Amino acid sequence: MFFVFAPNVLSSVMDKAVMAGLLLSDGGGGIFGPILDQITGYARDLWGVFVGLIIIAATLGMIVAVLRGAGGMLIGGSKETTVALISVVGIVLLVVVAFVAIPQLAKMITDLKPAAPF
Amino acid sequence: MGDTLQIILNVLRQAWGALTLFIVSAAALAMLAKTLSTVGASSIGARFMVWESLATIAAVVILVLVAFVGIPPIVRAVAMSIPGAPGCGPITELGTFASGLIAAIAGVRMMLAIARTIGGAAIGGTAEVSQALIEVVEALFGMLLAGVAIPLIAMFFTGGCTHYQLPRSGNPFWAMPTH
Repeated sequence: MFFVFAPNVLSSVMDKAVMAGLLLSDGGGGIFGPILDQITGYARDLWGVFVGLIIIAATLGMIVAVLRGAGGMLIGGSKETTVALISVVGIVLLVVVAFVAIPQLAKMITDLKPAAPF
Repeated sequence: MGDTLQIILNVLRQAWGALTLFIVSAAALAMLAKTLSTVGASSIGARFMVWESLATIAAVVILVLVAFVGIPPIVRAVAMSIPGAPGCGPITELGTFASGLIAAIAGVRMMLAIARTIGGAAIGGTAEVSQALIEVVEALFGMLLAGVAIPLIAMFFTGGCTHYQLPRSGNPFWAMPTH
């Protein structure tokens, strides 16, 4: 059940992150505008690829952790089971923190963008 | 010469703006790429790779702060120390042209060094903070040396402002002292 809705939740967080203006081009850049538009387009695509890969890697990682935990339970190893549960929670936390913190960090970096000092 | 200087400065300002936009995008992508690396490494139990990925994320944030907060004041401070119109006579225009460009070129070069490092991290490499900072310092010292060289060259060619006189041949680079 968890593995069914987790990718959808993470995908919606990704959509919000992109819509938050992270990689929206403001049309600036002057003579470098066309190049910047190309690079921004590729960056947007790459962002989507990375988010998809993170969701896949996180889902697989959680499955592997659950497998380890099940194996530990099979042989009566409580430590293995505990480590597996902690791994699952850790992966979920890592991914959620990354998906929430990285767009905010990028917004902060965008606000810090300096004008040319010459 | 002044118009030419302004045109080149405008191009360099646009390059600066483009590089800052690139750094923002590349930093976000680099952090996401390293998050992917962290998730994958933690899934297979590779602790060293997890720490390396987290360290790269921190390095990217540090580099961006250096680029956006540190470099502009440095460029402004050193630009003010470069003489605006060194020497006198025909060499003055060239000197003004050069002194106006030095800070701009050094500033763009510093941002380019940071952008290159963060771009490397965005496609999965490591962010070598030391290499980026070495290039920034190289650009800074180059700017300082050029700033020192301009007045010396001006004095060499003109022999000092109050004693400047064009020779009869009209060649400005062979100024003769009047006494």
